[in-house]
Amino acid sequence: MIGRTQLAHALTRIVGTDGVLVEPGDRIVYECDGYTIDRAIPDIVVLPDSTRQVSEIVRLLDREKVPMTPRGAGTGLSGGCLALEGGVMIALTRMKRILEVDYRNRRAVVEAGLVNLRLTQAVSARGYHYAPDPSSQGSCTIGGNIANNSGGPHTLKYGVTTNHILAVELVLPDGEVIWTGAGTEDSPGYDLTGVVVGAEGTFGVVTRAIVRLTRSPAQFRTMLAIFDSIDAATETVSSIIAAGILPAALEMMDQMVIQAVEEAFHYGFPLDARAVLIVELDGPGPGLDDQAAAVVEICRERGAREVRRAETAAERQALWTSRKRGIGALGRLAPSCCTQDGVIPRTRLPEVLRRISEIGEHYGLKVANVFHAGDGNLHPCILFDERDADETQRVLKAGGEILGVCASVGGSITGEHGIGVEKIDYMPLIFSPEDLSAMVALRQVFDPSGRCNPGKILPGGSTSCIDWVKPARRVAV
Amino acid sequence: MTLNSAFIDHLTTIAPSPARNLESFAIDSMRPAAAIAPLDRSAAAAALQAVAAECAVTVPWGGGVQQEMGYAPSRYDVALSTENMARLIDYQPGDLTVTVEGGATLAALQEILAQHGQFVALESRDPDRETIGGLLAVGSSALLRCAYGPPRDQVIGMAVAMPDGSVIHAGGRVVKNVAGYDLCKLFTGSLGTLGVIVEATFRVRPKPQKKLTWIGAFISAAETESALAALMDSALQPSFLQMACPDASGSMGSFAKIDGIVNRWSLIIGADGDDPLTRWMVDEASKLTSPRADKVIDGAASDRVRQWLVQRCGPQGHLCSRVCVLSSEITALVEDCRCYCLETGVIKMQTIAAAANGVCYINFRSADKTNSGRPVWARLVEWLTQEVDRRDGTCAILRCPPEIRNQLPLWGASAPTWPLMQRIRQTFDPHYTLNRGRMFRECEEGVGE
Repeated sequence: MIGRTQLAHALTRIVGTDGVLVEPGDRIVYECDGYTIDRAIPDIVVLPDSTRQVSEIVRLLDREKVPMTPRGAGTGLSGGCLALEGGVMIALTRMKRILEVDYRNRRAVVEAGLVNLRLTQAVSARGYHYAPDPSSQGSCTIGGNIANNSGGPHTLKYGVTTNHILAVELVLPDGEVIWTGAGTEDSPGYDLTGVVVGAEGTFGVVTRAIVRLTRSPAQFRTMLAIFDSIDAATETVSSIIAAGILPAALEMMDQMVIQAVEEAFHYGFPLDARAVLIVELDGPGPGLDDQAAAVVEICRERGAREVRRAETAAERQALWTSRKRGIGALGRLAPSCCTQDGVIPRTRLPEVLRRISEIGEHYGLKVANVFHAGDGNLHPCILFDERDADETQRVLKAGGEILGVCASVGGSITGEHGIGVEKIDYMPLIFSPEDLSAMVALRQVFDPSGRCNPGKILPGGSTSCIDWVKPARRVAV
Repeated sequence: MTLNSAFIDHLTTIAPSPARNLESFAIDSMRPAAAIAPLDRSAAAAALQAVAAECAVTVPWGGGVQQEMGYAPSRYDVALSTENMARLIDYQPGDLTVTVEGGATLAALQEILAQHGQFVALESRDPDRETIGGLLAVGSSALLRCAYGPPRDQVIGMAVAMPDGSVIHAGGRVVKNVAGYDLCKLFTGSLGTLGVIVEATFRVRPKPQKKLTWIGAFISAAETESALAALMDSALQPSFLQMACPDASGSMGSFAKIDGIVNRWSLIIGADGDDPLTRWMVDEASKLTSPRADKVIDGAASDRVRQWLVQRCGPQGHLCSRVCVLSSEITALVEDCRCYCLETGVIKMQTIAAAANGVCYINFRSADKTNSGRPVWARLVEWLTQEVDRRDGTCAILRCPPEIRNQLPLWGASAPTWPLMQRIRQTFDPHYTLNRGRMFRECEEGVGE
């Protein structure tokens, strides 16, 4: 087995000295992502700046049988880029170029380390944007979005990442470089692009992607409905959908989040509101006012205390800033926050939110809720102090029960954050042993040696039969 | 090798015979030794396993609407029909999701959804016959992909009967779900070579209040491309955006009794939504493109034109190709096809394209009544494959004269990822017991090309 020093020298020959991190003080930055409960420091971090370099790195690691972990910006919330087996972390943040923009065909070719928002900013002057807009879009990378099939608030109308990726350039775990498709639609054969998106970096290292650009809507109608009860807000969500209106976004925040956000951003949220809904319609213009009026009417019928409308682009922007920074604002309330991510059928929202509240009370934890109500994609944010080992254990148990509730009502254990390490133990809630075996088999096609982002997604490791063993990891105390 | 009667008898204990006769399951000149129609997914999986254990080959059948795709099977023992698996499993209008068995027809599904003012964004040339499973196994579409994406984007969950006798579930019943690998994407478009789709869950949408169809006529490929570029760069959000070459425009004009489009290129837009929006869209389309002639159709006439377009986006002539290039390449490619056909003197062509998506359905017909000329078709396919490859696109042959089917490159120029796909195929169907030879040129068991 190659030693760390020798490996570092070999990597330096590929990327140069400033592309290899070996000092503990440098590597500790990469010990976790946004899921801070679990940490694992990689043995070496390497920062390539081209596909050729990534391929050479991966070939070297394949020869020496060293585990590897791809990483974007590390904003993930499920431990997807934890270096559980040490090895080499391949950080793609230097590969951040926009290589080509083709407005005529509404597509762009980008490197995986490009920050999501930078792409939208680069094309906005021509009236386009990149539609998947997770709240972390100011930091997260396209490659990370591809790994997690990221969503965001506007997925209700615009879909998730997989709907906006035409092809990816993938460095397979043996170093071979492939494009999963021609970048045109309906390529003969299997949909390799479709299976790589959402594979959480376990099939190889995505280095480039051909992405769809979306024409930005000409007009918006963005409304904030204020409710005195959570039930009224959740029932309003169902009523809007039942009326045949499909908003571009339909988001909800509860009182705890409202108060944290108001303290941080002073938007003007009423602090005594139990819940608010952000409803956004968009389109070329005609008919939008009628739709907006219908939405306002539904909100009032369902008991909204007040419905405000963003009258200017600045007001709209401020509202979305408040929403997208909502989880971050919770940092005012507790040192740590575990943001859960479950999905349920929309019509079960009122019932499930009540059960989440009960779970929080049972474990003596505060749970704030901010989520994509239109999709039924919940984000219960459990507030705690990770330095308190007992409280941390209660957070893990509460999170698990919440996921159990989601599964029990026919939902899923993750809507956009991915399985990573956080939810491996819960995969059997929604998949049978045969289902999981099929996933293991598919993974083995791409990564027969099981070294690419090991210990993620599938219980029991990537190459073994299903064996319900918790992967070794330590909880930060 | 043929199946022995004892095994065929054994199969009938797993699944009954289908309603239609064995002859109806013929593919080209090949007939199966047996046909079965399992009553549920477990029986389907058990049957697949039994056939695999006999080292025999199963061909899954839905309505047979797209069964002519692909190479002829290198072996054909059992036809497995999904006709007895056509039940509605779950429908939640408030959640905008529906789950049906794979043997349900698209028409039956749409009828259920229509009662709640909803629909699923799928289409079929023969919706009364084409099943959900068959439609997803092919995974392509023509019209609705512009606004809603192809069939892969409508599926949120699946159950698949596998050759090893298991039934696996992919995805779920919620519209947002990133748990595990997206196996729905793997099975969609897999042409029945990995498993048999026995159930699917879809996201559904509210039906638009109104549907208008706008048709604009243009005199040249270049003028059509300019118009298309203007539409693509606009704020219009059409449900579909099709292009028809002059011959196809003439056929559409005759069918729908529309003047002004014979011998002209045409662009056809679906303007769906509420009344102000649809009116605005058709007006805007004319303003942006300045067509030589234009027409707006609504109501039943609009529906008929749309169904006509769907039917034309599939095999119509002697040879049909599905060519996928960038949207900006479509008009030039189709013009080159027209010129090629003119030079041959015997081949005629009609093309309808999903112009925003770059998906072209090019139908060729030989004017020679004997339809002879294997060399003619071979040369055409060779030329077309090169032209498409030059444009970094892909070309699949959806229909050709059966006697030359196995001599043509039905999937176009070989992609570098083909070996990886073959490894996936070997993983899930190691003995090539499903549709052997139809996607990959597998001849003997365990041997692939």
